[in-house]
Amino acid sequence: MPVRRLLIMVIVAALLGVTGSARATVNDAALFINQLGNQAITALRATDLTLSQREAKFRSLLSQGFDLRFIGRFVLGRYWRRATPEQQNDYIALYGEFLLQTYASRLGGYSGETMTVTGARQASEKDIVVSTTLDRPGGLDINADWRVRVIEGRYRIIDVAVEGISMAFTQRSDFAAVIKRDGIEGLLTILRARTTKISATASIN
Amino acid sequence: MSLFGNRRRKATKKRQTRSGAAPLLGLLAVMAISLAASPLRAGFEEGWEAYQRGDFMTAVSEWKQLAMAGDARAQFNLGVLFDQGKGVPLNQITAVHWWRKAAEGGFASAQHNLANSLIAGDGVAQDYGAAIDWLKQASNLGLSRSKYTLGKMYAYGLGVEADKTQSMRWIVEAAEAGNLAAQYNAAKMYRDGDGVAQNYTEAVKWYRLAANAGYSKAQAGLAKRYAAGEGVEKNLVQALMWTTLAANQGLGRAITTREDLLTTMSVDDIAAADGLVKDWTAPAD
Repeated sequence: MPVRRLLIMVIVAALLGVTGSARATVNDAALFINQLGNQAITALRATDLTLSQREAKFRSLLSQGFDLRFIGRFVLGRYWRRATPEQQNDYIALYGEFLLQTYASRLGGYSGETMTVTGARQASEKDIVVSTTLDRPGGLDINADWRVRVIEGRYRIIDVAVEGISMAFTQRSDFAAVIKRDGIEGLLTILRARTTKISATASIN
Repeated sequence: MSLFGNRRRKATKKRQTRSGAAPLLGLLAVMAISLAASPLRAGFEEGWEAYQRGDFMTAVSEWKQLAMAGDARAQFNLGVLFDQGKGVPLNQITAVHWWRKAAEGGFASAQHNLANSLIAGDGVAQDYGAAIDWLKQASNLGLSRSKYTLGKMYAYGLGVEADKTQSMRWIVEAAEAGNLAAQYNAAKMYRDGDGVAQNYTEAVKWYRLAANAGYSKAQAGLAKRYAAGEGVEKNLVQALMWTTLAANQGLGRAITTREDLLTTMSVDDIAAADGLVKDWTAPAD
């Protein structure tokens, strides 16, 4: 009997151990966001680089933190399976570019910007939401909530809500409307248009 | 705001002075122009320095004054700040407003961004036809990004009748100007004989240019040509090197090609390719 009991305890402990490491914990998720945020802010503060170089660094940090493929597939929803493999490839590449560009330019670049983790909570079985405030001079502070999940053993961001509005859900409904009207090619055309825009310049033409 | 008020007062003063005596008119006019031009230039530089250090609110206030005075470059930059929500709440309608003004003033980057807002329907109703007009203007001013986009519009028949020859023409022009996406597309069109006579040698030329610059899809395409000996002498070491470089950037199909090559190649060849990958350096931005 004691042997059997011990065996059960070992199995239970092992199972807990496995599920424990496969799921995000509130503390580790908060730590992950805090670390990523601090790295990003350090990259953005490098005064020897131009703004576009700093934003490129920031983008590369974001691309490591975000699971772009996971988010991209979620955002496309049921249309993912209807896309051809070529369209899926183009979409993932364009969407990743679009997302990084959007967030690198919207979240970063402000002088004196700091990020504070204000809380973290279990949002669903697998997900933790880490709340942050990006403090900026001039009253342009924003609140961003990062949805974090462990995917393939790593903490990854799978959604951001800026001022309470989820990026993934907003884009999912926007994209569905575009696809209904112009098909998947129509969506790719729009993403191509959004990612080719030229940024501020000192050049005279 | 108060600065702007001051400048307006100065301008009024200048007009009053100029309405004076005739002989001095020429000299006064020259002085007035140089007086008017220098604060404009200074305002732009102040805005640019503020922008670079991440003080977007100052950039907005500097450029706004210039933009309202008709400076196309300031109008364009102000549009970018509104489009990205930097120093101002994000507002794509206002972004389009400023880009349109700069575009009408002949500023090519503004013509390009306005065209892309019209394609995406961001801040303005979607209008492919109007987008084509602006892309043509910017292309004629030599902007390679616009040439590439115009080539794509011809390929898909958006806002224009689909025309593979026109598509090829604009994409090759953009490729020649160094646009990597255009180089990759030109390679594909030569590979498939799409809008041009099929030609693997030309395809390899364009793949190689973009691949050398670090463009992952072109690296994968070049690897395939090396593996098949199409347009270039067959060379599995080169094929493995290029597909590995693309795979390292996360390109799915390059990972598959790499796995396929690894099963057919000798240990020595694999080691040689690995050495080439280690020696390869991505060009500086």
